[in-house]
Amino acid sequence: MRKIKYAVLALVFLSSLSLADDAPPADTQKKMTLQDLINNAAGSSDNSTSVAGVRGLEETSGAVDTQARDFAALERLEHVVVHDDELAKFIEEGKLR
Amino acid sequence: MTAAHNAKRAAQSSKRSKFCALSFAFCVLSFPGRAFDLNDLDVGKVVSGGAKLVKAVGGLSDADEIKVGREVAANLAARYGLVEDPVKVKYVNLVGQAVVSHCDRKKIPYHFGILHTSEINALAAPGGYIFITQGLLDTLKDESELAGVLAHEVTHVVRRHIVKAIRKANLLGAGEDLASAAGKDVSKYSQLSDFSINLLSNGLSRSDELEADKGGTILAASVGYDPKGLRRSIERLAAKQQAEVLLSRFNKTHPAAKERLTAIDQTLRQNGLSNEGRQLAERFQAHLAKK
Repeated sequence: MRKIKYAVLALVFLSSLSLADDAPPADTQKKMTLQDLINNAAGSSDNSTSVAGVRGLEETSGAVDTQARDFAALERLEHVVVHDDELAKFIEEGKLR
Repeated sequence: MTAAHNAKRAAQSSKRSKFCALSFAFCVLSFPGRAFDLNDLDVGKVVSGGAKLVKAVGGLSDADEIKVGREVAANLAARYGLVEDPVKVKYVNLVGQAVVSHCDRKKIPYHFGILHTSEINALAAPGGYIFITQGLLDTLKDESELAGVLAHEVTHVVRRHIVKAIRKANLLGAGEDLASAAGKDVSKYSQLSDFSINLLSNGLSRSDELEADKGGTILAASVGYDPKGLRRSIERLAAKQQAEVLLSRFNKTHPAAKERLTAIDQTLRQNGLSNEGRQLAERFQAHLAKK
């Protein structure tokens, strides 16, 4: 009787391990992250466009440095002005409208 | 109660305990990540459900949107650096302003910058700050393609896609605008900037991207450019290796090329747009040729 009991228990244990192997790896399971929240907010949860970041740390960790700022470079860009007459000439030369 | 009876009850209790433990182990091992796992809670549904309950009707004034956009643009400038070649920057701004002159939102100033990276992408921050990477510029062949890409980004700004996402995320309370929210909580601006920066890294929604393709194609055509400029640029990128690391962000922040091309073809047909527009390959090469 005891042998049968142990056999049943072993069977249950092995089958549970087998089922566990069929499940997706832990790292691919759906776990809600900040990026998921943002995607959901943007309405793209089903067609997720999530991506890791760009340089250095961003490439490896997926984190984006949201604190970095270069206002000096931005101000130089803001000082690039296209005057109306320049634009009119550009459009005319290109035979645009 | 006899000792034998006690022993029998203890044995039964022990059996029950073992059965419960085994059952629990079976559940946990059979359904990892599901049974008793709070991580499985679909936070997205909870959040979107909450957002639906509390419909935010507040928004950003143009001034507030520019203020947030400026933070985002300064962040991109810091992370990538800006190309400062005056000829290139002026030319990209001329093409961009030609596109803006035909758009439906001319009241805000637009700035067009080139991000100093070989990564292939283009981005629109809120408030009219638009960027194209040097990597994407290098893949383009003529001015109509550049105009198409910039028109796509201008459409994101015109349609206020990021502002829409901010509203959807319920970052502003119902009926609340940013100015009043910032009056109560000074960190509100940085919250919205952080959200926008992350959103640009993650990508806008698929429907917003397709809307920008459609709007961008029509907008570039209205300036007199070949309406297929944007289409050609997408088609060329699609022909590149999907696994190319420089395209990874572009591929992940935009719908599949096949879907985009189909939608653009539909737009071209529905609007009777032909190939009669200008491509201006020589002018493009004259201004952007590598030195």
